Amino acid sequence: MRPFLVQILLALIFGGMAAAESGVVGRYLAGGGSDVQMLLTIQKPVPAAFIVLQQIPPGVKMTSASPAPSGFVQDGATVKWLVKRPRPGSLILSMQLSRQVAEEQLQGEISYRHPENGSLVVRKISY
Amino acid sequence: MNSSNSVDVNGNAIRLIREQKGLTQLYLATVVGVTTDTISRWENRRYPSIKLENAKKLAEALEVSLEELLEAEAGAEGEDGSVAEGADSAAVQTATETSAAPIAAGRLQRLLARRRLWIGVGGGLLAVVVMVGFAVWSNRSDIRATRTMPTHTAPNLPFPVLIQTTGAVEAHNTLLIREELLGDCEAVGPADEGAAKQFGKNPRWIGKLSNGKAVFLYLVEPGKKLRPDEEIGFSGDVISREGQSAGDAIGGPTRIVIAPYHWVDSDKDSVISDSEILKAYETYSIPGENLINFTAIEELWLAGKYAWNKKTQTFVPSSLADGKE
Repeated sequence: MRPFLVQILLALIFGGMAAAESGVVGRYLAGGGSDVQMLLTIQKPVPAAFIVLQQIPPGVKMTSASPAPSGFVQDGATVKWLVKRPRPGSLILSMQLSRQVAEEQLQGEISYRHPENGSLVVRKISY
Repeated sequence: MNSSNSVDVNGNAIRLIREQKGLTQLYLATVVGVTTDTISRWENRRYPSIKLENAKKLAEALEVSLEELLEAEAGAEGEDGSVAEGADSAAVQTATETSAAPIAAGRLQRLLARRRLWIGVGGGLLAVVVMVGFAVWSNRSDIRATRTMPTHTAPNLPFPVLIQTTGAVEAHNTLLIREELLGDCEAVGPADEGAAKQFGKNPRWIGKLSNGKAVFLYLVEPGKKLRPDEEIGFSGDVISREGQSAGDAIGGPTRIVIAPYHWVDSDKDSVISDSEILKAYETYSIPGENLINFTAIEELWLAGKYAWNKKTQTFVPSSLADGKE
């Protein structure tokens, strides 16, 4: 089976599991390694924008990412994605690292303003 | 008054006047031409109904005007005695007693008629009050409009103003939002046929509620002569009903202060944080509208820090030395 088909299949499976939560939730699809994938599930009410922050372990560099990140902070130690006008459904962020990392070294979070009350919501990306 | 030839007199007044003048019941009975029992009965009943002729004689005997003997309280019920008085013999008095039942029935009918009248009048008034109240209620304005805008902006930096309107007005009702700006500034609306709509100092919006909501977003460009600590004022109202002369006032903040900080930077720390840019998106971005230059805001956000350039009157991104946001 081709990799992108696997991604879609996994997105459908985990997307359904995350459907019970509202807003935006994230989960790492690949358990470590150099290819890291995050599945983001977006539920109604959908925020106008959300930010994904991914920490890069010390000594590791990000070689590529899809979609391209909005920017970096702390000399590349943190990657930022600003997702504007998301639609309900699933979104996969993937990045390739310069070397393999253990699953527990992956740390990321999603933040957004709640569309109904404006409060700031910050969620860890789960394994 | 019971009928045209009888009047309701005030029994208490009769007794009081008689005693004040030192007259006896016998004297009054003799002058009027009735028995002392009749006089006693008139005095002991609050509002006996007596023949007009006898009432006049009674007034003469008491040396007062007839009006002074008439019932003092409007709507007071008369007492029996209309037949018994006027008789000058015991036989007539006996006849009075024997005819008490039909007299009571007549009075009861009159009483009921009066009550029906009052109930009718009261019911009518109540119906009018209810109808007027309903008319006012159904025509009331449920519209609530609130202005949202930043607390500050830079001298040369356009900032958004959002008017959120909610209400239960029917979909066919057209809303008119009228804003008035005070200070050196110009308002710009969403593009109309390719060009941004120039509002001057009086932004206007005509539209309808959709699912009970409507949103009107416009930009305000502060004048270049404005200096830090100067203000721009706002006032506005919403017209939602035909023939409405005075609109419902728009709530929310009514002034914005000029300061050398970006309007997104709510805590004025020269850093546009994740939380602040998310708030800007959540509050002021409307699908299909490109009024706000979010690209420029993102540049300052990604830079980590920014500085105000007095010469160019613009913000300049400047990376944080320590790499922190």
